[in-house]
Amino acid sequence: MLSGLLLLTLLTTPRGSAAFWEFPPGLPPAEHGNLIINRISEKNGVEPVTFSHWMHRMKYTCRVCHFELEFNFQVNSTEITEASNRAGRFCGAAGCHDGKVSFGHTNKEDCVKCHNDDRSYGKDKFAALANLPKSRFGNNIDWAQALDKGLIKPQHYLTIKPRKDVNFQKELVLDSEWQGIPPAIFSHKVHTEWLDCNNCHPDIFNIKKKTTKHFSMNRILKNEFCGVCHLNVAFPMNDCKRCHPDPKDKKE
Amino acid sequence: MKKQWLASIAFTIALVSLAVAGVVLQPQNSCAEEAWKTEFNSICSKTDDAMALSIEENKKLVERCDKLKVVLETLDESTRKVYVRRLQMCRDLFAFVVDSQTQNNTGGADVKSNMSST
Amino acid sequence: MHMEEWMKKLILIISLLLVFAGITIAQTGVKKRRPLPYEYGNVVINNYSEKAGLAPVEFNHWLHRGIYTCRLCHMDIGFAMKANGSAIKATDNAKGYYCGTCHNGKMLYDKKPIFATCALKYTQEEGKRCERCHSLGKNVKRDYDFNVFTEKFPKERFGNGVNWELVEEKGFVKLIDYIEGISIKRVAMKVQQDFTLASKVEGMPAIVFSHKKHTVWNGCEVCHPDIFVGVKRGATKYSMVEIFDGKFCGVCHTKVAFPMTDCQRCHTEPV
Repeated sequence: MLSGLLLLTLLTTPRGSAAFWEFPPGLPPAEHGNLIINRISEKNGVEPVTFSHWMHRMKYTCRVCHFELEFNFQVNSTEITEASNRAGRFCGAAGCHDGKVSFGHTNKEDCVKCHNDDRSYGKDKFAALANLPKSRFGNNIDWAQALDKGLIKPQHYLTIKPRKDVNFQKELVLDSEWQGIPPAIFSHKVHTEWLDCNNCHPDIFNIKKKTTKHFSMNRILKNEFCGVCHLNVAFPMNDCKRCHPDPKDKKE
Repeated sequence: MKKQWLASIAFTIALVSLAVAGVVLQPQNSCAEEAWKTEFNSICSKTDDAMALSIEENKKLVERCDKLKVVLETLDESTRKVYVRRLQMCRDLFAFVVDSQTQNNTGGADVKSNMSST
Repeated sequence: MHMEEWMKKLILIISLLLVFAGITIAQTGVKKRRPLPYEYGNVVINNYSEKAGLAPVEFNHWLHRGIYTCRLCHMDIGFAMKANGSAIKATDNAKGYYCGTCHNGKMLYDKKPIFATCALKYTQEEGKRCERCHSLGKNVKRDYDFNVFTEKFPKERFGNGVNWELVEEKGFVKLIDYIEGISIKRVAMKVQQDFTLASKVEGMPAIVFSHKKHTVWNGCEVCHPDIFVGVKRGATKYSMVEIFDGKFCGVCHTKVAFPMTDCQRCHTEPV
């Protein structure tokens, strides 16, 4: 009876789902995925850092930074310091913000390019992405389609080249807790185009099969499992059908 | 003069024999120490070569380990702790090789690992 | 009466939920902190330190593995493969066992004597030496700095950020494998076979395991049979779950040897 009532709420109110689940507040498209990093900046007398995901994901896949360069997913948990940047780790990695390929810690005028505490920094450049396929939420860009269509060509590795013959394509069907809600369809293919196996396994998704039972929406909305990425960086979960497709409208 | 000379010779001989006695008598402990240590070294030097020895030889080594363990248990705490562990590792390796060799001899169950050598 | 029963049920449900929440959190795991390059391989040893009024010992692997083979400490000297597994006491060290095998003020490294460890009697001045090992939580000045020590070493990603195989291969260091009076003179080992381990997951390449690379540093006993029990006992299937949990390959390749961040490092066989 309870589930029936909830289902009714979902079906009758267009934004019913959003009203029931507590999503984090949506940011303007040019700010979605822009993170404020302030682990030690303020303590050391500099402005917190703004890191823009859309600016970087045009050029590099998630794998490059989150696997090769060892950036943690959780903001403020990676122990980035000026010294480590200068030593060629993290942001200062060779080929990135090393002061040669891109600005680094060399000129004082460049500090503000990161240390600006302004989530909307660089929004003037966002207009350059106008030709990319659209989506409803987040950056309003369908990054997966953009990649598929070759409109963006992000680098997939710096030094550790992924094997082309390892192509894990398995699609998972995750039944939902509530009756009447179509199962979530998880595609490995779409994710492996951006990520390395290690990004998710085993830290976020333990290979022990029984833990998939715990992928409840409540936990996902608390930044666990899918919520590690699909709240603040990848496309947010406002559009339920993106993951729980209606079996009636089957599209390939 | 002669008496004094005799006396000094006697004294020197006495000193020397005491020294010799001291040296000769002591090794009763160090001889024993050397004995178990020599046995330990003799057994455990063969671990790297265990795969090349026969099953019988390896079984004998396991037996020698078991016998030596009894001796090691009588030593002082620190020595005992270290050498019992080292002997255990050594003994377990020989037992492991015996298992492995027996497995190979009887055809062995088909296993996914250990199949193809590169 | 009815209310009380209802309350009891509620309390039971809540406590059950909490228990399950605890279990599930334990299973998914709060993400552990990633050790920095100079911290990777550090082991905290605290069998008796705190009880004796000293800070726990923080042992670093990177310096020692740049000088000695794994076998020398873990076989010849007899250190266990798990923290706290050796139950080292000050008297053991003072008698020249365990750490005291080298840390005795006499054995030389880099033409200098290696500082002595625990002594049975010491002056207050000498007592300051304790902190060189009993250093957890203290800011102790080290003789060797990680960045300086590894500066010229071939680098790689993850773990210490150093490719220790190449370090030895290219002759940056010549690892010491023998200590007179402790190590046993052995016959040279015949080269062991490399073999492939098929993976259970379809599409995941098989692992090519190199015995040679491992025996050069470990000998036989470090792994057999304590870690790898052997074919007869039925232990032929090493699941990744167990490995990530610190068993089998994970005994070394989670905390000391290169970590399993890069799946392709081991899963190398052509598909």
